[in-house]
Amino acid sequence: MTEYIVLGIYLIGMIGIGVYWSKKTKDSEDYLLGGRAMGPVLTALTLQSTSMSGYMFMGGPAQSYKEGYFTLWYAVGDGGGAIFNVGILGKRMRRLSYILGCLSPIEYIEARYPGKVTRAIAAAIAVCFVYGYVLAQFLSAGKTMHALLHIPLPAAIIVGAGVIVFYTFAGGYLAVAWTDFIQGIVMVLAMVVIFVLSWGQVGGLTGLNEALTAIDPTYTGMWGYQNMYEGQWGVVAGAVGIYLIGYMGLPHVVIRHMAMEHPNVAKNTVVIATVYNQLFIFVPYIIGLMGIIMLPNIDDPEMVVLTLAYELLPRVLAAIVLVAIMSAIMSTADAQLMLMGTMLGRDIYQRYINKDATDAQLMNVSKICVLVVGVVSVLVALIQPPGVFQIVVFSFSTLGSAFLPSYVAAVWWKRANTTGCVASMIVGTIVSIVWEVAGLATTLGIHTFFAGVVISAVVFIIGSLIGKPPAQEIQDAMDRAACKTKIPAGFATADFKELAPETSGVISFLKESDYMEERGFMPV
Amino acid sequence: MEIKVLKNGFKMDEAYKHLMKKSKGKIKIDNMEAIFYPYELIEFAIEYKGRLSKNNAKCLCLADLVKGEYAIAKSRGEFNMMEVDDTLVMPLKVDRQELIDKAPSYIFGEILREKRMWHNPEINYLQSDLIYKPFYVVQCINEENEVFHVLFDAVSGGFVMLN
Repeated sequence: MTEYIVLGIYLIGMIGIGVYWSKKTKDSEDYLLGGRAMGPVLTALTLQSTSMSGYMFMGGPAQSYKEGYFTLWYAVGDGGGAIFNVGILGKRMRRLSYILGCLSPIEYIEARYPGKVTRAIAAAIAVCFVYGYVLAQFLSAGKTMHALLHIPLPAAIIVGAGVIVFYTFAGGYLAVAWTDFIQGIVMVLAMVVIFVLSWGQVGGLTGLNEALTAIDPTYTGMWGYQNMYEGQWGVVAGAVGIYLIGYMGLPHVVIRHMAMEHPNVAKNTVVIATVYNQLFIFVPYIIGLMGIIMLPNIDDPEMVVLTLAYELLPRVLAAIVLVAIMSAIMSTADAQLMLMGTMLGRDIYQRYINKDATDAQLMNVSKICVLVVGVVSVLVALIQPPGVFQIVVFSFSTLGSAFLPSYVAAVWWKRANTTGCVASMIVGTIVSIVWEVAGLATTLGIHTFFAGVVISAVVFIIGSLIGKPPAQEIQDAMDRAACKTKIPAGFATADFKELAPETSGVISFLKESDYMEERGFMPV
Repeated sequence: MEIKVLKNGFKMDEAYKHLMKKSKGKIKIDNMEAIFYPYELIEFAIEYKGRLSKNNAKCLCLADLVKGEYAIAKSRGEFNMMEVDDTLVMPLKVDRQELIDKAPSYIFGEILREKRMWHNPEINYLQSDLIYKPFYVVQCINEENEVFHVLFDAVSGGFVMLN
């Protein structure tokens, strides 16, 4: 009963915040601009805390519960991921996407690598593997409902999925940036409280290591429980690399480079996100390790955090924690479902099936797609539920293998062309799937991500050398994105996003007209 | 020719000072000239039926008449009628009516993206106007005597590299 009351109060509170902010903006002319006013702190915290909620609460802790300290390789990579991501792509990608006039990561791929099939292939891969994230959220929601409402798991999965689909359709009224932010904060606080209480119970790091060693010394070794990955440096490289460089291949992550209002926001967001990562990225994994000691007989390791919440906190607080987790999962899932719905509607249905589709038709297609995704996810979850960690890592590996070479080369290699991009997307995806299905990571000791990215990159290079060089217009755009002229620091950060189309239009005008010559300017 | 121009936030001397301040005096400004960029400023009413009508709002859309891109405008702004040299005015490259006709689709996409609303509002055209925004093309020289160009937005003070 306590849980139902907490759930009710929490949801009413969130709806109240949503209604309050909706009312504040409903009559103003910034009807569509309100959500963009968030600064770097809110942006970074919201993105970081809600983008992988299912993984953070279930996948990560479960994997360290099963594999021991080995799992921290993933956290080590993740700690530096933001710096790598922005350092390599950052400004150049932001500049190039504006020069090419692109709003979405799929449009960007098509603009940089123009071709009849580029967009179809990119959209199909993105849809399929962003689905992996959605499935992970559905499973996480089901398990949270199971723990919160004490109903059987199959029923909990159906309820959880139903709630997510409902939230996705109602999101516009319930979800505003501030509700996402508050949910994110509650989620992080919950994780920290569970961490601190567990830490005290196991006797800190020393106590944790001694207890783990007493159970099985390999838990604290670098090769995983019972040395399952002994000598497999390819697996270690993949585990570190997947979150260190893998973000550069994720369409729903690189879009953040393109969406930043200003490079200064990007820079600050990276700093905050990196600090946040150093503070919190290890926490879920260490909670999983502490779970080995505190919950030695748990049936489902993905329930470690949820079970610890009930073991360590008063019932009301535990219920609040679980409701916050559920809310954060809903917030993550609704954004991903909406992304999938719009990709299926605009990038595939309108582009290849019904070019004259009206907005109403597009909306209906997107809605149907979301419902179908919901039903399929429930069926998959009920029939053969995979682990959240496995789904997220596999989706991450495949998206990284498919897109990483194309996104990186887009700004760094002028020769990079459509042939290389298409070949790399197809081969990267196939290698990743085959590697996973055939269990080659275990057989050959090479992580799926590592194999996928390396082979995809090689294919990209070969394809680009064989294919035609990109059009001069694209090469010029790359030169502009690189900005080789030495400019003062104040100028480098003054690259206003909203001026991108005008910049391109003015350059064309200046080149085509006598404007510059007549007024004594040097040519642009 | 006489055109309707968004009111300047930055006169040429103010733009000069602004750029010098931003560069901390590390550039020389060699040349600066105005250029006028054409837009269609379109106003729509976004209307929902029944209980959702509380979400009704007006929306201003700025359509770029050179590149055909759209943006949501924060406010209508103030305008002056100005007589300017023809060669400073950029020609229209996109059909105005075509841009107006396609604008609701853009606004619909923005509503879906920003408001996360899965309902079809009616997006009704109210009025539109051909306007021009003043920019400055600025030629700068860096400390290594390299020449580069900047496009300065005379309304907002924002600027971008042209090279």
